[in-house]
Amino acid sequence: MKGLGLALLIVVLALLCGLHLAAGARFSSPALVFDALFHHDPRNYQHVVVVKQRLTRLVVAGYAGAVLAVSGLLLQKVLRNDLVSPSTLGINSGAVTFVVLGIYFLGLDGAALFWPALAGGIFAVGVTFLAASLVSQGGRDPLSLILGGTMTATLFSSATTFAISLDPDRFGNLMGWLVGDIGNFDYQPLTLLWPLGAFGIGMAIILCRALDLQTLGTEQAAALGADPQLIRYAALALAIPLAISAVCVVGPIGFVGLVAPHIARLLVGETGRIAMISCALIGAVIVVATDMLARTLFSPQLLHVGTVMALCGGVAFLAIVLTTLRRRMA
Amino acid sequence: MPVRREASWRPSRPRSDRADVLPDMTSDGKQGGEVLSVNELSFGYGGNAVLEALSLGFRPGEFVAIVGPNGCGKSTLLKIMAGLLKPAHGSVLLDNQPVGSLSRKKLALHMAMLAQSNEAPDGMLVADLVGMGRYAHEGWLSRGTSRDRAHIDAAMRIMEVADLAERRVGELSGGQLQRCRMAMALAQNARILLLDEPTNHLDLKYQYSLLDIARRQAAGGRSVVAVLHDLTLASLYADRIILMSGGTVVADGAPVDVLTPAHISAVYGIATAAMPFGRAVVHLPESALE
Repeated sequence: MKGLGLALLIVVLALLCGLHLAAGARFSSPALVFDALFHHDPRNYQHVVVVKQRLTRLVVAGYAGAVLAVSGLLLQKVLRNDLVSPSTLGINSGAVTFVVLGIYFLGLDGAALFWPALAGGIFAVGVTFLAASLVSQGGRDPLSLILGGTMTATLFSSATTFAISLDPDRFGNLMGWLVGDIGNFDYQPLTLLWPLGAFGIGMAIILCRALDLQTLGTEQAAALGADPQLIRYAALALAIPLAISAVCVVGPIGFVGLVAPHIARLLVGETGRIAMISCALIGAVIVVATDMLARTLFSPQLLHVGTVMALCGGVAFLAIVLTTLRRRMA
Repeated sequence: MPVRREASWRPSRPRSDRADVLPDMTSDGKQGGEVLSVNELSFGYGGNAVLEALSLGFRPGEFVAIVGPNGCGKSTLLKIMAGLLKPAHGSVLLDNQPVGSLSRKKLALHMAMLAQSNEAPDGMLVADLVGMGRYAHEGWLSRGTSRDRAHIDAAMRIMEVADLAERRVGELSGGQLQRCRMAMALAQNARILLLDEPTNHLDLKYQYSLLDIARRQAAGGRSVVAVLHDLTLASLYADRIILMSGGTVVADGAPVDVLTPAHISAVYGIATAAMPFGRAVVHLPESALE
């Protein structure tokens, strides 16, 4: 049953990848896509479009989706809260603010921006936990953490806007990244960051057994032989850099990390490695599909992936919050 | 496959029936010697003493019930014995080794505990839940071995939850979930079994059933310690009762010796009439009998 869900996902992802390579301002035939990939002719403009534009976008979108989804599932499991994700905890916003500050004050660029982004993500999580503890009405209230995250995200967005307004010209070419966008040159940071993503996903798959124990409560997990403290730190130490590596490549794309774990839960349940792997695949499917929509909806006009995602994801977020609330009322 | 249903809750079942005891448990404890000992144990939360200088020993083959009024420290004692809380003074020794010196995983090979809170994610399959009991036995690659499966199957059969294996936790009643969690603790196959109010959420039939299983696990050579509320149930199934009050042990011994009207009156502050009934002792409040 679980294996079937995973197999289905792999098929869907493969089909989607093919479609992604074919679709665009001009639809390319499957034969052309095949030739472009396996008998590449650098003088053929169609081939160049398929490989240099669509294939790089496909890889970037797949990577971003997979790492954000895994990050979201790690966070949801370790915090035992179905509403958290890199975006709803403020990690994305914190990273963006620190990147902008890093560019403005330190003149950093390229992959070096990973470090301010990471610092920003960690700082934002700290602020979110602090804010959540201030608004919490005792007990484990799933909404207080989200409220804290929203407050933190708003705070950091304002800080970003403020920093940009100091010297708007300098950030002109950053506008797409700020709302979350996949550009044709995004593969450059990815060539440096992909080992981090691969390592993070691998570790998440190894860690997910211990994380499953954690869902039974700290005491029961400890009695079963897990070290809850260690698992908590390990999960956070994986989830935050994973999300940051995606932010560095494509910018703050929200909602994938929130929605993908929910879809995985419906499809293959929530325990075991298959759930973790499926979640990564679902994340890739979501971002690849969104990127395809962004490129083709108003073709030849390109939309930002972040914009399309925010529209679709916002609705999904609302639905998830409402079901959570309803379940708590019942 | 037909599910074997047996009237396993019958309290009069002879002690020699060990058919349902799990095979090949990890045991190197000497029969008769203490596997777990609590020495001069004290504990407090922020200046308030919860436990004061407790000393107790637990032997294999013994089913011990810890009883006492709310807040007497019985659950805290169990958590310290499981290494979940650090004692302020004194020590808990497992085979003469401090419990705190062992890693969680190593400790879990010897000691299983059923915690009081029964949280579990709604989407988790019962088979996966029970399988969690095998965590301490798993290596990086050796997971779901035939031995793991044998223990999981045996535990589910004992707790009569085999037919729930493919159900999700969210579909279970409170009592079904509690039995599945007990199956998880049994699948851990540890020689010490700590149960914190295991009869919570269970209806009458399964309260008897669970305690009978606990007793038979003890008869098979394990050391079983349960925190219980119901004195009658405790006296009916336990070999030994520890009566606690205000963080100290008031009485420790066979049920008939511990559950006397004098002890009950001293600990609970009510006058009762004790009625021995077989091996059980039933206490009824004098005020209701008049």
